[in-house]
Amino acid sequence: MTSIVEATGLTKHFGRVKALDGLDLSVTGGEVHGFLGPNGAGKSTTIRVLLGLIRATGGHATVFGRDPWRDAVAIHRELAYVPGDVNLWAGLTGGEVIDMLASLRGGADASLRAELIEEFELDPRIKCRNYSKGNRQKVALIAAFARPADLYIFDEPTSGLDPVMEAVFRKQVARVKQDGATILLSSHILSEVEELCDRVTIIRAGRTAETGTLSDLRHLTRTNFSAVTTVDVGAVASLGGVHDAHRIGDRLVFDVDSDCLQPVLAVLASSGVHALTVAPPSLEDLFLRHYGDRSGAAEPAERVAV
Amino acid sequence: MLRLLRAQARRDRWQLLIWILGIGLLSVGSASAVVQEFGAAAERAALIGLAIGSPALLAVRGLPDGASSGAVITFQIFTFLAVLAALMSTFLVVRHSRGDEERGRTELVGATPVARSAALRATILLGTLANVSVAIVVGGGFAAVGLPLAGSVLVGLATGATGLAFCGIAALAAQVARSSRAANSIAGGAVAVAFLLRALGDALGTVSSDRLHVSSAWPSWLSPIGWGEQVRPYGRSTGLPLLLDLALFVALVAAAVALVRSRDLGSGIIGERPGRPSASPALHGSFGLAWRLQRSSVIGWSVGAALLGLFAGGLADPAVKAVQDNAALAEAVRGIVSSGSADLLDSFVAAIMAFLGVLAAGAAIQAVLRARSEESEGRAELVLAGAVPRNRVLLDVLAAAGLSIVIVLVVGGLSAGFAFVGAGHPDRFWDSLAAALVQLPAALVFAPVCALVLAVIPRLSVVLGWVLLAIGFVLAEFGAVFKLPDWVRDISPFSHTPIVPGPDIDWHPTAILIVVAGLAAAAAAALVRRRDLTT
Repeated sequence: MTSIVEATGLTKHFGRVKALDGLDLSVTGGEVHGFLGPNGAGKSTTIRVLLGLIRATGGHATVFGRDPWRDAVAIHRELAYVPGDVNLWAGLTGGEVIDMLASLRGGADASLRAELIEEFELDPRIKCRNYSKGNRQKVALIAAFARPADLYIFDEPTSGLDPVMEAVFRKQVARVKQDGATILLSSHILSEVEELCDRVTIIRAGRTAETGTLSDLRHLTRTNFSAVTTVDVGAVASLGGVHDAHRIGDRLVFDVDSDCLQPVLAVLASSGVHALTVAPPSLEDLFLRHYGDRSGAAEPAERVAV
Repeated sequence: MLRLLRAQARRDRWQLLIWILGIGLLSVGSASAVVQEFGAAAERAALIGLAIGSPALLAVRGLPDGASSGAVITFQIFTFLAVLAALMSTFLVVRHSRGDEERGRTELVGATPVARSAALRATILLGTLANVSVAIVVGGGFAAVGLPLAGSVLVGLATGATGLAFCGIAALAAQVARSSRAANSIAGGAVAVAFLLRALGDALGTVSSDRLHVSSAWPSWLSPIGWGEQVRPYGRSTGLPLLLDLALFVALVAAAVALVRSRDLGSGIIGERPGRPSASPALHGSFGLAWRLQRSSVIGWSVGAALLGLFAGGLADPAVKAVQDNAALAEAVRGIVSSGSADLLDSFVAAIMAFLGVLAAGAAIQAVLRARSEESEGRAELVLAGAVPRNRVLLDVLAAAGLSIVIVLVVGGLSAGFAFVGAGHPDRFWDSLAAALVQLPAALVFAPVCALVLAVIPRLSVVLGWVLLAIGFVLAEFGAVFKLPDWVRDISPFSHTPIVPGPDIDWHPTAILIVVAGLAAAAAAALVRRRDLTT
């Protein structure tokens, strides 16, 4: 597999602020790569460096083996991008924006465009000033999908979409992946990345914290259980990988390391369970547990105090 | 309802204060200027005589009604005061009716135990109070300068009544349109139509035998502003035409209240027109986008250029005839433009055309500065993520800027040419176009310099762009008035524009301006590739 995006030791300083501080990222051809980190971790900055919109202070980055700053135009010919915060031209209609943006890459595929507008349920005749955030996002997504590209870069693509539209987005990602495209998808929601991505890079404070397949990262996550059951606290707490088991009324609440679920399920199944809630691990929990801070952007004071 | 009124007035207190005080200051300032500059009755009679000879001047000013100070001031300023009162009323009413409805505030108020029309009635009351205040400051301002009290009261009432009529128009527009933007454009358009109708009526009016009075033609009687003019406060002095303004106000407010009672929240009579479902080929690529974004502002600048051209063509001849006997005034006109050997009429036209050059440069600067807001508001990112080089995007913006300059100059030149033809000088048609187009090099310099600043210090570009234009304009137009040394005046590109047609035209400065513009554009294109996209 060829490497499509390669970044090593990337740094970017804005004045005294170090937005990127030695970031590594490697995206191989044909994969959907999740780019995960809390807000302010440097996801958008990295993407803007990869697009050649801003120049890295240090380190090395290539896209399709080319320098993103010097060869921006050649790279952009094979690339589609949707920013996290989509601002459009108030006086243009959605349809006009789709065609204009696609024209910068060689023009939209007419049948694809029509199909996307229908699937995303967008009225293309409305002026952009009257679109909601979600509809503006749809316009940018349709413009990106309406012409086949080798690499798709999405910065928090579903933050304004409702669940139905999220499903449409996932379907389109699956379609372009099938056609052999590579997708880099940033997010701060772990579950979103989980459903779509083959591999994940987690960044924090401008630096790469973890990278690997999701099952590689399983050890980092815990699943939260809340069950109405007669099982004794001690019976669960004694199992390997179980943390913080306690009772709240008739509920038994505990966390389980994601790779130790099997014995817990066995214990629960063998006695009566009247209600069961299993919450997926959240990125916030992950950061809290493994790095001791939530934001990742700055060291919290209490950590210094410890 | 009084509580709603108080809440609305509180939200608007500064805005309305500025409007009302601004209108008051304008009336006092212009009134005292006329009193000082045209103290003698003969001078005022000459001014009115000049105006009556030029329909263009009647169109942009108003209705001559004798040579008394009050009548001359009213002729000079009343239509502008009326337009300001109308715009104040329009924005006030739309802001509190459709504007609040759009933002969901009306929904909050509507959920409380008040009548459905209470908010609208409160707004109308606020508009009435604002226009009463306008009437007081205008009337008081005119009286303070020493004009007859009865006439001053009538001027104030005429201004306020015009404002009220537009409260009614805006109230109805806000019920009919579905967005505050659309409501503002309907009511604002009505202000423009009212002004143009009376401009037409006054320009086509019948001149009295003493050549000091004009009675309007019928189009003036279709305009709420025209009704205000017919009061003739310092002449015939009748308040009766204002009843037309009041009747319109009452009828339209009644219709608006009836509509607000019967329609659903958030609905309107006319909806937002759907736009094109796909882009025309003209919108493709970065030039297509740059030009599309610039298009509507070019229309605005061109309207200004057309009015200016009308002014140049319609006014030049009578003005020149008037100043020919006055050596000092003739010298002043010559002083405004650089070379002194040209014909006085050519100098006069050139002086006005320099303003046209400023308008054209303004349109171009606006195109470049839009590139800055595109960048800071995150839209440039979408374009630059496409396969289009940074310098290409900037050069396309400069191309749109250049095209804007040509359009503004051609519109101004043609308008001046047609005005000359209309005034009986068909021979000056092509000269007018040439006098307009010769402004091109000076106007052309600003946009590339602005682009260079954008490429190097983006955050400074907006301020610097307009400041440069202001400096260029002031040095060229008022350098002579302030008696500045030649080398200071020569800083301005507009100082180097030759007078066309004229003898001994030196084209060297023009060539240098074009080279400077080209170099600045090239430098901007080279340097913009070297910096980060900034917000």
